[in-house]
Amino acid sequence: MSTTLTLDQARLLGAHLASLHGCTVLDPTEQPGEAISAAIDGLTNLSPVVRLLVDAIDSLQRGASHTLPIPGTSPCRSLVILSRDAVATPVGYAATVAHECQHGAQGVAEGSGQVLVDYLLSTELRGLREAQAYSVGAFVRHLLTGDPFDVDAAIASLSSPMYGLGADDIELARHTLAGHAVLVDRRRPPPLSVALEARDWLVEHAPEAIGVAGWVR
Amino acid sequence: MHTIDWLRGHAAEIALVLSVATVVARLLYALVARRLGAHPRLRAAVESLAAWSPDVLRGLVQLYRAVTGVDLPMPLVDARDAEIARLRDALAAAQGDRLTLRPQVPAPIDPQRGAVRPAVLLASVFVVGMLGVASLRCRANLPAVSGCTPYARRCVNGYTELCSGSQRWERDGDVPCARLEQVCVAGACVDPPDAAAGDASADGGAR
Repeated sequence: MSTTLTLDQARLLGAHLASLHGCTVLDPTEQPGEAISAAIDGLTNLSPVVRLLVDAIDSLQRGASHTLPIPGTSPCRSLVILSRDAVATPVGYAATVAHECQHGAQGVAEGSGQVLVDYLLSTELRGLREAQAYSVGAFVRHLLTGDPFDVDAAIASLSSPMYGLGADDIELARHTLAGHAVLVDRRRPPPLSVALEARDWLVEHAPEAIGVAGWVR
Repeated sequence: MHTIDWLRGHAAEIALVLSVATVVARLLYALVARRLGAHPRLRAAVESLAAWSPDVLRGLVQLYRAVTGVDLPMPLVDARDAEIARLRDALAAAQGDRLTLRPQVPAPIDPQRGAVRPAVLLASVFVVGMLGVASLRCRANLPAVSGCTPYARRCVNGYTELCSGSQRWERDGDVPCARLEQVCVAGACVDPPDAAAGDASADGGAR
């Protein structure tokens, strides 16, 4: 009988994945100390630019989560901005951080500039890399809840105008996710580094939270 | 000297002649300009001559003054000169005031001073970002088109690859099947016994 993943465990898993892929996670629920808060207030009062940036981050946190590769960093470092929805539950937190850290891994593999160019200029690469990230998130959710690895839900999200994908790109994403779903059905993670690392961490540190029997390392 | 004396003695008549000549010239101009309405180039030429007439009149008056040492009684010219002198004095006074007061005039308040408009900031970020992108190899890192069958699969060096809609081979994961304790067969990671059982198309089989 599995127990539910706690938020602390989810944060530890997120910190572990982030450390492996050069990600800095911004969690909207973590309150900075009074001194930091006062410093930020002071800075925002000092410079309208800082205020705009703080407001922009605040705005991003109200919507979907984002991973922003930091140009010029080598190996690539990424800023992961989690939305408030993403951190509402421990499973949501773990799945979202895993999804975003897969983007971080893509940045490390391709380089901070190239991953940005690929994402902006190629819908094929954007669709493929989002499919991989969705695969990791769906896998972590499946591992923790026992819910099916939901290809259709991922494709529905990828079909939203936010991603701007064409029919071919969505079809490529569907085939990618479908191939990964076959593996998950056979108790194998998708062939993605963050999926393996998440599985390994959960097996080692929170085995009681795994909701599906039969997972092997 | 005789001529000068005659000019001095007939100042009123000379002024009257010049005034009448001016009025006649104005009337002629009005008539000619109306008739030349259909000929814009001719009309422009007449207008340019008419524009000189006040200066010609003033020139004659000044010439008279220079020769005889007395002014012609020309109300029109005198009034014009007086107006010019008045305006000149006013301009000089205004310039003097401005020079005097300039340091004391507070700078105009710009409500946008010190503020960065979001649109300007975003535009700046966009421009800087685009310059950054342009400084890189500004091309998506797509594999070459291979002519593969869309959504076919294959294995390459233990990795699974999928043919995209644009007929490029794309790797669908970032680790090889071996990391899953699997082997790659026909573009899929499978358990080793499955691979041993059959399909001989490992690392091939898909074009």
